[in-house]
Amino acid sequence: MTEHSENKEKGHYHPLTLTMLKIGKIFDDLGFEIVDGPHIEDEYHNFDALNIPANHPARDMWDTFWIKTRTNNADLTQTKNADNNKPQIHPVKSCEAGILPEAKLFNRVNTDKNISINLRKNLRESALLRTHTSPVQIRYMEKNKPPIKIIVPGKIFRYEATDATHEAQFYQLEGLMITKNTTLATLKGVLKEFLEKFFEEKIDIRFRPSYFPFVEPGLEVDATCFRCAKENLSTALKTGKTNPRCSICKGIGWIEIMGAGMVHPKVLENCGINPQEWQGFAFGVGIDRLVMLKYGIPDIRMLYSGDLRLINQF
Amino acid sequence: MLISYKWLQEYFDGKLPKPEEIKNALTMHSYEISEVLKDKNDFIFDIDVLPNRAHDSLSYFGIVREIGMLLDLKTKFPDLNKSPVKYSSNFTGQVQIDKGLKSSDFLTLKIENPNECKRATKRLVIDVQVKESPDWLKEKLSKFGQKSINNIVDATNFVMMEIGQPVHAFDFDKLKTGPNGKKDISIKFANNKEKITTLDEGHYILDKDILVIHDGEKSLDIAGIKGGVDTGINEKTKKIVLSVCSFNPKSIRRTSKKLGLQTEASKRFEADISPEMVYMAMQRLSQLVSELSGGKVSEDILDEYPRKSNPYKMGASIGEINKILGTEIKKREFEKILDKLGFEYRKIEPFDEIKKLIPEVENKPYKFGASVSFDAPNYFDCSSLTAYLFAQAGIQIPRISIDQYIFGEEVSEKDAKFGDLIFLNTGNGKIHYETIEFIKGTKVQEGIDHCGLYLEDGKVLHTSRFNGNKVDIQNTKENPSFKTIIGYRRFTNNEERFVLTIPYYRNDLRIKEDLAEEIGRIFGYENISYDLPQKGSDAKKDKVFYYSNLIKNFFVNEGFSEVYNYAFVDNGEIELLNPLTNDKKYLRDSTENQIKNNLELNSKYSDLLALDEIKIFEIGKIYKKDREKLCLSLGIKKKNLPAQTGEKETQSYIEEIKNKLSETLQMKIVAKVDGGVLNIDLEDLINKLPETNSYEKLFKEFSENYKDTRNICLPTGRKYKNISQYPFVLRDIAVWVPEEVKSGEVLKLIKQNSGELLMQSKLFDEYKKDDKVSYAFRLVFQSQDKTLTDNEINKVMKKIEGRIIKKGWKVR
Repeated sequence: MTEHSENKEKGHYHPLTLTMLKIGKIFDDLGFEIVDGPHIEDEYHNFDALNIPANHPARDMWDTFWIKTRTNNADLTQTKNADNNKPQIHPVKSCEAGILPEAKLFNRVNTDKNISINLRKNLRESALLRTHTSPVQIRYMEKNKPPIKIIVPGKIFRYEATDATHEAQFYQLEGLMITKNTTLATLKGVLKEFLEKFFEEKIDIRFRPSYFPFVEPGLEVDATCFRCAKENLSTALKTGKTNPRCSICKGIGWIEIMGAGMVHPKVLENCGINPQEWQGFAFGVGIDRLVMLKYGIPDIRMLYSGDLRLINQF
Repeated sequence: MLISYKWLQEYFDGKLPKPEEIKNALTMHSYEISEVLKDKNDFIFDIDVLPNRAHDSLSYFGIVREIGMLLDLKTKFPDLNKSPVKYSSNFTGQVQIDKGLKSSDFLTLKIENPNECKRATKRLVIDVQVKESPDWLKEKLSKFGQKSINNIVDATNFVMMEIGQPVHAFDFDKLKTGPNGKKDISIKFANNKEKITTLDEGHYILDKDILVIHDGEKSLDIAGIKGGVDTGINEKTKKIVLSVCSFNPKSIRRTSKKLGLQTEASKRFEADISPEMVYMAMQRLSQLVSELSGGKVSEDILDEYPRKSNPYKMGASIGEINKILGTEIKKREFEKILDKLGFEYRKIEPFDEIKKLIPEVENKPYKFGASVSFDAPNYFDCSSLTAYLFAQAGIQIPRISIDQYIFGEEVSEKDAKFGDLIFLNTGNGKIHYETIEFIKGTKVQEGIDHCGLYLEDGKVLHTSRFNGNKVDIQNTKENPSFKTIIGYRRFTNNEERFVLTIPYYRNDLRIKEDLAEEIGRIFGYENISYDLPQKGSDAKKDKVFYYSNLIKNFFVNEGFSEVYNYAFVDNGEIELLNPLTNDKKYLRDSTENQIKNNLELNSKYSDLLALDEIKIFEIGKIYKKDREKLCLSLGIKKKNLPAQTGEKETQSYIEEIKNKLSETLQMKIVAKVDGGVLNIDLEDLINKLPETNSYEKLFKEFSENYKDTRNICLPTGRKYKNISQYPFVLRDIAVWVPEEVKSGEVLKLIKQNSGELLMQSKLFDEYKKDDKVSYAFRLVFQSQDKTLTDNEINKVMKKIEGRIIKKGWKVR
């Protein structure tokens, strides 16, 4: 047999790519711009600008990988978290430069907005791997005036022991929409459209109270189980006739799908946007989790194994 | 946090609804419940209280308040400011106060750093008997996983869990006696390098940023975090000092991180619990200690409370709340929700409210930097006056003049009316040219140092240290200090507002967005409708997204499969400070090894994959000292070829692919091929490519590629098929059939008769002779749950062969 010329068989997209392309298409149709930012972030963009100040308990919500720089090496302490006894790492001392290029303190004047954004002021110059795609919100809002509609599909990192449902690196989708009158109802409408197009089923959404420092109100978003309750969703839920053995929702009829909320006015202010004039929503969803839910993949680590026995199924 | 259903019941008159109902109410309106566990004749809720509610909810009081509010149940909170309360059938609630015993005769108390310690209380108890706790207390402690130690320590743990306020007790006799014959307790920073051993035998070295409770000789306690062993309670203890304080949350957190010591107490202080809880907790602790130990409690409490805050006032109009939630809540419903929440509120028109306040604030003295929370309404400076007046009218405006100027809506001098603010550059004070808190750094070229409330006809209510030194009304036209007016700003159209007095225990309610959440969660988020904005693909297009995915389309079309590899590797230019494991210490600066490993791994399964060559690609970041780069890597490994020939062939094939990609992108690609792996700096490449204004081509190609893939691979749906851990077995079979019979027909028959063990089948040879044709297939067998034996496969093959013969065909 001879090779290439006759080998017309197509290759395979990785399921994460498949998913991100589908998501990209859905949101492009809704008029959202697709953007990304750096994986190695500074503390200001990953935390402070998002209304997660240093010495605030909310910092514990994100287990962080820190990058070694010349000066922070020795200043590391470990704390045992009282809840789960999980060690937490915090670089204590500020460090100015190290292996990474020097993060200079600078004052950029944004003439459009008549403000100077103190990009690195109060910044303890520690470099880290971004723990969410949210710093891209900040980077985008620093450069662009509202109205804003973006999604950010991208890789993120968490200092977390890995198992079938946890990875130290995975993908997240961030959404941000800022206009004069974007509300929680808009959020609900956009998410429903997204999830229905994505799962190719009729889906309902419910919000539950939650907390993320960069949004207020902050919400947890549940979607109706696209497998179990798809036949007649509302009836199934009302009568409790969901499948108790459903591998996806365990018979609850709802799946926890993402965090969301209305962008905190402080976050807008930090980017030079007047919260008296502009408002909007942000959401963040784990793409790996969507992939696993949709295709029934049991172990997140398989996505990064380079194993074509998985990939070539798609 | 673990909360017992039975214990909760003690705070309600009526019978509590079923645990499931409580769980649902809390889940939908308050907190996440991880699970409800059955515990003998009780249920334990595992409640996940997030940081914004930790200050009011990490306790029975907090949870009881929430449940009572949500389910409209009457709670019976012990009124701790009045008489002692009986709250357990085994507990009388009697406190033995020793008339004549005064803490102040034995103790002095001083807060040296009022910024760090918001309040401190101490109380002496004598004649205590330290012993084992009664069963009811032990049982309660066990509900939140706390071990019983002795009656005094158990009482402190109980109070923390009940009220949410950490409390402590020292052994009085172990404190140093001062020259006045008393124990002088102060709350201050530790000395540098001072050592302390905590109750759990932890040794810590303190420094001058760590707050301690001190007796003039030694540190007794790492304030708000952990007690010291030197003054700990044991069975010999006769007199104790009850200690309840409130600390600056940031300082507690900083110390906790620095020492690597997080405790139940530090967790609560970090959350910024209210200093108002201190007194209640002291009362509760006194009752319990007295009852459990037979101790006599002093009649007084030493209470240092340097700065007591005014109740926080805030407000919103219904319109503002609806505008955030996207709802149409009407006035009656809005009021019903506020009633349910139990907040004290009033409906007002802002200007009426402000008018009423003017006589109250007039003539109050000027104080530079006066605080709205602590100094109003007794002292003001110019902007604390305006901020205070608006806060009382339910409008939160920034605290500083220049920030108020940017915050408000511009109005001209001739349109200025009552309730607007006037801003000035008097040239007297410190002139600000950019905002300080609100949209920090916003420029105001004219400079601002003063503001006042505009009344009418040029009259202004203000206060200035250069002009009267008190709050008074002056006429801008007559008074020369008003000569440089910068502008007027408006903050309300006088729409009706609800002004709320936020209870001391809810310091998370500060801005209208906070209130929107509070209203929203009671209104029910499920009642928010779906509002989809207009569709339209007018968004800007991202080059990196476009081209990197276009390249993916290209490779998939060329038969390559896409892999994703880890960023963490055992060698690279950038090192992690806290790697998960030693072999994942670095960020990858190349994909080469990973691609080679991918090829190696997958070539083992090439039969299972029915591939003669493994062709893979990855588009992902690599991390270099100077920057992170998007990198395109591809690798090829051919099966069953002698190494040298294989390498040569792959080399030339990769060159071929590279040229084809160049052609597709119309851009020359420079990159070296090395050992079957090619790396391309994709960022560099994409930078040189033209912008795009449509993703149409990208999505069209994608849907063509993917549709095909799906039909080939997953005829039964999209569900992933499990990868077996067990070895696979190969069998070849060749069949002679009449020439008109197609290979597909033969394969169909094979598949129909091979059961579920057949994982893969592939035609690998075709040979024609006379009117017959021979098809040779490679069959791959594998089980999901065991290693297959020859025997098992032989059986399957026999069955297939039998069917073939029956059909009149011949097995070669």
